[in-house]
Amino acid sequence: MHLVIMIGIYVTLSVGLNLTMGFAGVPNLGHVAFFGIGAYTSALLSLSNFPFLFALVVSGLTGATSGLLLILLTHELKGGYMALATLSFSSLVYVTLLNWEGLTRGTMGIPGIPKPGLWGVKLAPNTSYALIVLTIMMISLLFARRLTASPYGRLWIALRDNEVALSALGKNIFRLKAQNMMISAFFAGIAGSLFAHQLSYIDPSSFYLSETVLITSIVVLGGLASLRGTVIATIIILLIPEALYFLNIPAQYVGPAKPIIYASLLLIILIFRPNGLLGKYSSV
Amino acid sequence: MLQVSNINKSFHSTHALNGCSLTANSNKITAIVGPNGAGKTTLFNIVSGYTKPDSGSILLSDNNLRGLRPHDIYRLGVARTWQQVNLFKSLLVWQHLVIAENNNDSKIINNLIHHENTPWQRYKKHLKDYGLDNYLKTQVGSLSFGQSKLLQLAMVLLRNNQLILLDEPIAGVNHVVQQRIEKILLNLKKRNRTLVLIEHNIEFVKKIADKVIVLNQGKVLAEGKPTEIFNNQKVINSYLGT
Repeated sequence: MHLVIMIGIYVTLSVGLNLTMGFAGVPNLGHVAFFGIGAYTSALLSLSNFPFLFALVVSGLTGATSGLLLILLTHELKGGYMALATLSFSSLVYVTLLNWEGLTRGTMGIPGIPKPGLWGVKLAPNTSYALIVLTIMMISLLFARRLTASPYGRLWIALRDNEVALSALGKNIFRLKAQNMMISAFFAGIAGSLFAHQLSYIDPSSFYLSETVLITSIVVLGGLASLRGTVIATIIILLIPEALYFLNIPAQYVGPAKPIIYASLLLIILIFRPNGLLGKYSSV
Repeated sequence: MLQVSNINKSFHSTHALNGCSLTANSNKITAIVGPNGAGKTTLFNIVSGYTKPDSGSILLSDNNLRGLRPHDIYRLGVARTWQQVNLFKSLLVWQHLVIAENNNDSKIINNLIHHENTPWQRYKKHLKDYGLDNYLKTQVGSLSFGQSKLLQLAMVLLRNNQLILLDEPIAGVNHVVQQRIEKILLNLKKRNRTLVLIEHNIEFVKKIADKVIVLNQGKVLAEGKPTEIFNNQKVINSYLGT
């Protein structure tokens, strides 16, 4: 059941990333920062006795606000410069989580994050939590599907293809980029909240480079601008460590092997199948 | 009517526009000609909001366009095409028309609630003049260069834009497409539009323009009717050659 929950969380997280990276063509390497911000927001609120639903929504909103901040700073950057800027943003958030010990407890992390209860109903068993996560995942997917299939979603594709031509047709480029980043970061914030409550312990190491490689691999493997591809790729990638256990590889090697496998997989996809499994657009 | 007054623009030490002033009237086609580097495209970029002038004013009817962003300028009725094809390679022809015409597509809630109603018949009819009526569902990457140029024109002429700026509309297209564009532009004059185009093809300019403005080194060298301008000794010396 833990695996089902993690798949639900990573689908929500990766769909958010695909909205910026795949649909709007923004090379966003800072998505994991919103994931971390959402996780810490939810953990801190829950430990202060706020209800799970409140913590979940506020996590999404803090993610979205951080997304707005990022796009305010970077909206004029393109390509590699944008990738570097978003990566720097995720480093900044990571270092803050690591060093603001008064709030985050630094490397010691935050333990004892309670399993959620909805309206007083305790949802301790993993089955109940899986239902919550899968419901949120489905809502995220339906929202993303509806939006990207609408004339509005088409503007994101147009933004990806030709920003100058789009502004010449009366579209406010900054607003489109800001909305795109905020929606994407909202998804990440929500996923962060779900992640924190599932693991009941978080520390900054879960929200840095290896996680960026993991979610970027999911989006690229599934295919840019393909929601279905993202779901399939999440399942494949999260099942890889299970396969390692199945192959009788000792447990102490599975942890270190994961980032190596994800990074290698990303490299292989970029070289041999830049459109991913179901992608409409090349990622290179 | 477009009134550009005393526009100056420098890029580092290069003076692209040097006190440039000109007027383009409604129901007329105004052609801007001049050698490469004369400041023609810079002028278009300034009028459409892509480049900020160092000084001067740009008036469209009663609206001051200076300082506005490109999307605000488009909403005031200024549309432009580009010398190179500037389309969205992943989108279909009809989707380009929707983007060019629709003002409500940026409203998220609206898009989540309402289903899209595409006016297929109206789009088909509009594209007939451009020879693209059978290409509504074609991805623009599959169109020829001439067809792409025609689509750019079809997009800016779908709305009732007041001022249309065309940057070399016939550059690189064959004779058939050229004749089609000529016919479309001549028809437009009857519809109270202000048309300004940059063009190097003098024969084309002679056929369609009511007024010709010659730019040279960022200044207006001469302006008047095509017959006067192309017989003007100053213009012959500095632009047309012997």
